[in-house]
Amino acid sequence: MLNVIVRGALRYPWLVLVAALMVLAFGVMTLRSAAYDVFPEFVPPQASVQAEAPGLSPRQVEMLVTRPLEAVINGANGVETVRSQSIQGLAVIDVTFKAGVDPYRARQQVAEALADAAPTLPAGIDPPRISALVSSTMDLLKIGFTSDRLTPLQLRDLVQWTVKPRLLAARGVARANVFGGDDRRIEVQADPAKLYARGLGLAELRDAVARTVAVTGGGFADTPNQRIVIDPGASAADADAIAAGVVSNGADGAVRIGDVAKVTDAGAPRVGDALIMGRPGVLMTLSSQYGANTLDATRAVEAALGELAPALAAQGVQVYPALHRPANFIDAALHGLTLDLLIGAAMIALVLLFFLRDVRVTLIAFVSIPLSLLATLIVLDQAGQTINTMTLGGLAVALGVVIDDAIVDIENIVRRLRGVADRALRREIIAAASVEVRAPVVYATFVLVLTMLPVIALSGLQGAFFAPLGVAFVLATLASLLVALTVTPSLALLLLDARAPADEPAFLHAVKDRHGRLLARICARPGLALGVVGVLALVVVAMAPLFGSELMPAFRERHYVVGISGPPGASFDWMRDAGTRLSHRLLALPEVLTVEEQIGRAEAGEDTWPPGKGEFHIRLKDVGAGGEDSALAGIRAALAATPGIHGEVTTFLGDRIGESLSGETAAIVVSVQGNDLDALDKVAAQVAGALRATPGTADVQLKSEPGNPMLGVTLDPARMVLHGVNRTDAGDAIRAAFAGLDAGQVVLPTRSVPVAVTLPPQSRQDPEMLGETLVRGAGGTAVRLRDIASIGLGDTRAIIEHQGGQRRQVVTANVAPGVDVASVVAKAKARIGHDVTMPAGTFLSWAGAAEGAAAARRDIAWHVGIAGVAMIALLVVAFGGLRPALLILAGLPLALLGGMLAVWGTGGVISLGALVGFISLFGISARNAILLVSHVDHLVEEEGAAWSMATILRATRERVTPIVLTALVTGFALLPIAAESGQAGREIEGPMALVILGGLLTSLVLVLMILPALIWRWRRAAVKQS
Amino acid sequence: MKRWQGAALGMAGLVLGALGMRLVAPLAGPDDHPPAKAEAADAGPGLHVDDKVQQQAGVQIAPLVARHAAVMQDGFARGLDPAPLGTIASDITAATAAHDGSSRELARLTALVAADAGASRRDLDAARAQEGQDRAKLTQACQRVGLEFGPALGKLGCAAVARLAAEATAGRMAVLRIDFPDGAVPAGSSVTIDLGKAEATVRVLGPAVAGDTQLQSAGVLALLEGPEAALAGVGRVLSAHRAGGGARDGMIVPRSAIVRADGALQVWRATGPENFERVPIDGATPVVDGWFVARGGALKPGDRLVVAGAGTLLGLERSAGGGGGGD
Repeated sequence: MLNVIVRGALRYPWLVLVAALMVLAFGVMTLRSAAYDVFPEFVPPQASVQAEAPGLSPRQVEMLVTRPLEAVINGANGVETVRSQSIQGLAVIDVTFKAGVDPYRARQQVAEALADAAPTLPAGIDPPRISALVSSTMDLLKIGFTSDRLTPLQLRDLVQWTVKPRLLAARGVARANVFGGDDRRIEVQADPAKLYARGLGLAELRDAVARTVAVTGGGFADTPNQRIVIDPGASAADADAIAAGVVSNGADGAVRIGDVAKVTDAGAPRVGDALIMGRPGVLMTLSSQYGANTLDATRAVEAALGELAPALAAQGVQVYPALHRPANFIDAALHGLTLDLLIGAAMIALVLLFFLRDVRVTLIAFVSIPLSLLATLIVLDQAGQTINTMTLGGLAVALGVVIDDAIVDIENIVRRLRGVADRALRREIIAAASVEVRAPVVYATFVLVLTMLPVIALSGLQGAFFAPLGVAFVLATLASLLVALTVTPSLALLLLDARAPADEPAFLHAVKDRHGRLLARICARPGLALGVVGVLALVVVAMAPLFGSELMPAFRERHYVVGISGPPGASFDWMRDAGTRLSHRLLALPEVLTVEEQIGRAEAGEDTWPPGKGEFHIRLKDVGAGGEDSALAGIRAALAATPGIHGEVTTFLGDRIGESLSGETAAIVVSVQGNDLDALDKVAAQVAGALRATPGTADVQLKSEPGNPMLGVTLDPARMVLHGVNRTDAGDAIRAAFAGLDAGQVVLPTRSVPVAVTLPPQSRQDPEMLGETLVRGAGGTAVRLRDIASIGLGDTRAIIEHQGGQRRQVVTANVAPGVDVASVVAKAKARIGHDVTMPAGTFLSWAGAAEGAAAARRDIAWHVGIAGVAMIALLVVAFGGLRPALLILAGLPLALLGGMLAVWGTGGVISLGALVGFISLFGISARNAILLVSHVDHLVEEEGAAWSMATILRATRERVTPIVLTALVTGFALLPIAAESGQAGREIEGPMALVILGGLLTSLVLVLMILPALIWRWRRAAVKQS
Repeated sequence: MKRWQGAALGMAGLVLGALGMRLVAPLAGPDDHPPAKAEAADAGPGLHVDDKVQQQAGVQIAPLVARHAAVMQDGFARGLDPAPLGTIASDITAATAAHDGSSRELARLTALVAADAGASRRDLDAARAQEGQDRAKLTQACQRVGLEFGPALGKLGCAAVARLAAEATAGRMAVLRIDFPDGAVPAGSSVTIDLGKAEATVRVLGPAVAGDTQLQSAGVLALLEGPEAALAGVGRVLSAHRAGGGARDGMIVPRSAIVRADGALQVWRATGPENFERVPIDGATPVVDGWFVARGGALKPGDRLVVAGAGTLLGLERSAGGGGGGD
């Protein structure tokens, strides 16, 4: 089969060349049109359901809204986990679907379940909505607006109704949330005395307002010739028009709304706020559509914003267009990796030229790089995958591997062509030389593919990240195999047919001579060689548990996210005050470019926080890794200098990865689950104490701290009967006092403004004034709320969380800089097991980066085991026994040792990227061993050489060049990434490259120094038998 | 391989392994990492916050100043229909005239009978009965003021009724019924009536005759005299305010100083340059510029209260593990 392919290519070399050029051309076109993103879609299919429940407390929301919705969602097909939050006025249910489920289909099922459940919700609850489907990284752009000229109401209006629609229309934008400013509503501020005087109540007033703003249609009238549309005229469109509406017509004349209430434009009760560069302003956060090209979408939004810029400037609005621009990181990361690829390729070309001393030969080998990589990109693009840092990382690792096949091939051709002048014979030699190395090259490639299968088979977040890397690597390797089978022999035929190749460099001869002498001495003591391998294996086993581990490294985004929370029950005013002070401290840092803070939540937004929680986005200037570290230290210092604020600093991508792992941004997440909230609080407090006492932890927080102040109203039915009022009357009065009674909306040509009936501002100055609110019954009786109810201050929770329908209290923590998360979690588990007493019905579950890393390690260990068995089976089949397979795998300990030394030298923490690097080492180290073993076999079996140490030494000498050359090109290909490890775009691939480089070095020593001795001692019998 | 070679290799492996462990072990040990330093911590009772943290938190302290303040009660006043007053005045006038006539007739007959000058004892008895009947009618007419309006107006006496009716007719006087949800106010109290464009102060005469069916309160009566009376139209419901309990000595705590915790209003009182204690304020009542706290409680004039940054101190206290909290 392989023979047929090689000889077919040699028969039609021009055809193969044209096909290769077409692949190159198509690849370049693909490169221009491909979708680029920072990472693959790493968040599993999920949906977020939100139901606004105006005025309800967290407990009411939990009972009345969250539980019924959870019940129907839990029953939907494909649902993996259901987490919920019941907060003041809002139920949020996050649904994660099983891996591989079509997100659109899954959302459809949830939508159908919600449609069934919506009618069962209590009156006054808005229909539940599913948030827009957005990409994994979610954020597209954050834009800030401030103005000295416009009021907060006007600025918000402008952003909400002029800027937002335009930007939403930009291609790739899924959602736009607006924070800050005052959200306009028309308030009908009822005067209780005037209502009482006229025998009216809030319900009558609300009905009157609703009638006044109601929109009705007039239909049409058909005439014999025409249809005449009837326009009943617009309803009340502003405060004055509403004030003119009639409440009642009595004997004393009509009572207008304006007679009993003041109608005015006012800000709606705030659910969110924003600070831009330390000033109150309006923040717009844009999210990209699922599968959208982040770079294209960003540019589309910026173009749309550019159109609006003159109009905004004319109104005195200062625009901050890129408070968070993930496209910057994508640009930097992709640019960095592309540069690494180019530098690596250039270095490979130089190495080839140096060793092969022939431009044509170098060209033949080198052409396999662009062909393999572009072919991979074509396949990925056709499969609908984005070009991201992980696929580019896979290509970068493959860069040194894809040329190996071609090098082995061309080196063999060149070596055999030396000294042959007959042209007809040369053609035959090219064919024979190509065929000769095909089998080992194919085995080596299959071994590489097998080593990468555990990575491709990873599940969950780690799979989402690394599977594309593995796929890109495997595709490139397979493409390189095809190139080596077809293009390399064809080009060799076309370019070397009539030309004698250059001789080997003299220094290489000298090196080979010295190496041969040293090797002869080693081969004389094969037992010692085996002993060294055994000892190294023991060292590797002993060292392995000493390393720390992490799931994902810190990303160099030049952007930090600081999640903050104020004291329990903190108000927007407090958060704004503290946020302003913190903003100014952050802006004083020399590395900081912009600072914005979003507080609370946006309606139907993704982060559903109470007023006491917020998030800072800090964009840095164009600083390097050192500058980022310095900025991080400055940010932590600024946080420490802002009392009352608890903060957690992450990078944006770190934040998103954490959220996708556990729903939280912290690295360590402990869920205390059960049904009794008080018991959960008690256990959670103990867990938090134990975590704080564990060395290496930082930012320990209770997600829902008790102690949020609450004004409780307990109605007394007996007193209500006495005064002739019912619960609805009381409920209306309570809601009108602070939240306002919804009375419809004023519809304008381009927007709508909600209308609410409420009480005058002076009645809302103190919560305790609620008791003075007059409750009016249907019979005309009126009574103060405190006369029919007990009203008192108490404590409550800001959030009630569920997981899988069960209540939970969440404790989160991060790890101190430089400390590995796995060891901290192990210590924390031990301490909690010792210190915390679990009441009946309460249990703990762990999540976060440590659990993710452990799951990834378990996954990988399992998959590596399977792949190892497959690899041994392949080698047994290929080489006819277990012994050669073990000989080939004997190099692993030394390769692993090199990788471990590289990890040790760079911090001692094995990230998931480094783990994948170790897996790659299996294939890369096995590859050289395969080439050497197979060449020994070839000399003995095909060329009839005697089984002797001289034959072993000859085989090794003939393989030194390709082995050293492939090691060097792989090393030089990875060197730029390793050198830039930790920089933007190389955070994951950098440690991987370092591990491979270290392993490559030691593996080279093994293959060239020890393996020949092992072959001499243990391969003899098998070859003799065959 | 000879035995000694294997043993040597084993030893070398152990040494190498131990060296590897020795080199690597410190990298994975986070125990020497210092724990996060608390911003504020308990130092005995109360909260200790050093000066630097106070500045960072924007803490401002101000002394409490003694104030006189009155707690206002809000209620409603309604102008009563004066027509019954006119009828009663008319009835009183008629009854008075009738009684005057029968009284004089009785006196005349009594004198005649005493002088035995032609008047029969029977006529005298008839005149006496008539006089008693007319007196009863007069008494009833006078009592009708109290029965229809309330004893407070009745106490003004029959003689005042006609004047009141005349004043009301002329628009110089209005009878107000005042209801406070807190309950009836005592006679003699001053109540301010909001007439829209003007305010007027009236003195409460006493309880009205009937309770308010809407408010379920016992009302009181007052007379609004002067030109403002014309503004209090019959049936019109006006806002009424009174200083409840009279002016009291105390202090005004600004709203920015108040935090709500442990089911009560609380303030932070500075007990030293860097020490604070949380003090509940009981019985405070809201006024325009804050909460009025009567003297004699936990606070006294001169106490130094945190008027900015109170919320931050509460957060620091919670972080330090102090204070209450929890359901």
